[in-house]
Amino acid sequence: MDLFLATLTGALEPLNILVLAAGVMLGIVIGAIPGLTVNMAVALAVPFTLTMGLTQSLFLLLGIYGAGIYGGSVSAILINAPGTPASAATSADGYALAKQGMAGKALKMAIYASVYGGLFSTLVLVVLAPQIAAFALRFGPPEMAALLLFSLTVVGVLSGGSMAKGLSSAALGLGLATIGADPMVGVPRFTFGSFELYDGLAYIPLLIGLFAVAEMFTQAERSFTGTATALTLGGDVDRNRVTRADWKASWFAIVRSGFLGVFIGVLPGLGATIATFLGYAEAKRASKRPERFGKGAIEGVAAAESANNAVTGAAMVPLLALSIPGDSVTAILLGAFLIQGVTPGPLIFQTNPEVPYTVYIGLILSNLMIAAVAWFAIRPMMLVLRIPKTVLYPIILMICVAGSFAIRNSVFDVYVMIGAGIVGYVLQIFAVPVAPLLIAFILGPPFEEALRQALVGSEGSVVVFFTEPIALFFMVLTAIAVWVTARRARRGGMPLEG
Amino acid sequence: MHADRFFGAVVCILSLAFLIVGVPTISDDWMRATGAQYFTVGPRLFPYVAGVLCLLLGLLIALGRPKGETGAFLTDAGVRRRTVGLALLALGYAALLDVLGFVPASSLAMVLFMAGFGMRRWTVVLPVALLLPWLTALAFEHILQLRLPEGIVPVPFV
Repeated sequence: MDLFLATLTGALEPLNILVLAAGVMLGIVIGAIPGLTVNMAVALAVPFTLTMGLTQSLFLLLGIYGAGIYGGSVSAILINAPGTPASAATSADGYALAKQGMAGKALKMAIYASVYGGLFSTLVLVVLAPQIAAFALRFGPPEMAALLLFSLTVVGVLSGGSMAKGLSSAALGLGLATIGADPMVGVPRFTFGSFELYDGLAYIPLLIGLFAVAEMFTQAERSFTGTATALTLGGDVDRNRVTRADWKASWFAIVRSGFLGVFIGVLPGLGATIATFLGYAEAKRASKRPERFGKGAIEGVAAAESANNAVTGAAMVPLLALSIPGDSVTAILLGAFLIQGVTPGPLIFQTNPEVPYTVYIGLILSNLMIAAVAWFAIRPMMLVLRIPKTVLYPIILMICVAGSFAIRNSVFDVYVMIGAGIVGYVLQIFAVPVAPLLIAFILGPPFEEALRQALVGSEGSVVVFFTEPIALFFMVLTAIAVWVTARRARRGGMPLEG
Repeated sequence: MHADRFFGAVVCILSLAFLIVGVPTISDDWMRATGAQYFTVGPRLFPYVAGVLCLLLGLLIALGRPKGETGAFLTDAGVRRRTVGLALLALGYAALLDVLGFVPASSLAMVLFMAGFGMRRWTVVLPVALLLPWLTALAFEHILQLRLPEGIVPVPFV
């Protein structure tokens, strides 16, 4: 306890708080720019930590990490251009609310849900880190493949509209994910001799294209037909308030998504994106009025944001307890730990207890800081809606081009972004949801790897998915998800085919 | 033809092309490598799974009972042509990046895009098109330390 209080006192020094505030602001700004990811922001900040002490470096990186994930929701809500893949689900209802003049409400709910998710996952980290890390280690290839199959199915069937269209979008994403070197034996697939395609398509240009560029084409078409709807800033303060009814609709979705986010966060290789889509899909499934999702359901924003921020603390569990980075951000954080001369692992709680304490304090303070900074930034951020669309969309396209290029310094990625925009626009014409395509594209490679590793381990037998208890559990859940959706479709809730 | 049937048919045709022409192009040389016998499934499995899934779902959409109209599918050809024009303009923008560099290509593209969207106030178009790409380039290169395409046109401070 004395050590914790000493760490807390040291952490609250003004310079440390200043560094944390800088990290949070940088995270929100970078997270909100389409194309610039949290990974990139954290990686960019690492060199600055070389001259800092442990507390300051952790505060800077943790501030960027949490705020970057929140920041992605700002552009998702305001201009339907998710700043990060984890915010793609937020745009469905957040942008719909913005179009109805309730951007302020969506942004406020995003703050509340994000902060809840972040603080909840930190609490879980404090209380259960070693136990959860041990459970996560029981996830071998069969369990991981079954979990990913469940995730893909849920995202496909609950994406809105027709189940067949949602699943076909997911299948298309799986197909696109096979471009590039095979993950196990390195054989090039569909690269056509192109060096750029050997690494596969980058998911950030795909994300930007499917959402932001496709939206630009759709808005352009609407302006040509004279059916464009004006985005309103929401001078009506009352409509932008989070009411008691909104809380009533959202609180359970926030809590449930918090649990989902923590569960996904502790599993290596999954990350915030899948947590967001699962949280959103689960909120929609459990809703009494699922037809409102995608048209401005406040609980959709709440569920997605709670889930993606709940990953931040949870992702630190395997990192701190087992020295296993669960995703690319925690891999960079592991590097930052090593720079500071600290090696995470089971012994860290005995040998360097001040390190986990600093992480706990940093996560809690960064979440509070996100709430404060984001709250005061809502009005200035909403000013973007005052820009006429005729000027706003060309600006968005330019920023998207810069962001897509910056990922790999390649104009090829800009072509991928525009191509994805055309695909997204065509899919919108046929009322096919694009989110399953993106999520399947992201989950495709780890799914393929886990599936093939499991099949190699079982000498080609698929029985392994039904004999391992955790894998069997997820296979049964997958079957139930398809069955329930098909049954609901037959009863007229949503179309099965077209 | 109803939009859903058309979409389903296109998905089926593309899936068949993917399965019949695309997947067999994946080399099976890896099977001759040492230790290949331990790999019970090869690099063609997953593309086949994705292709077959697409084909089955395309068939389900094409042969299923379509519900309602997909309004956007019926938009008039003139409007669609203008949107296709914007898409081609975006591709042209990408092509110009390596030639002119980020700032000049973006300035030119922004003028054309704003005009394409219907913005006719040149007192707005010109300052936005000239200043914003330059400020973006400054922020990316000097604050974020990220490179943007360099072309033949020199730009001050970038």
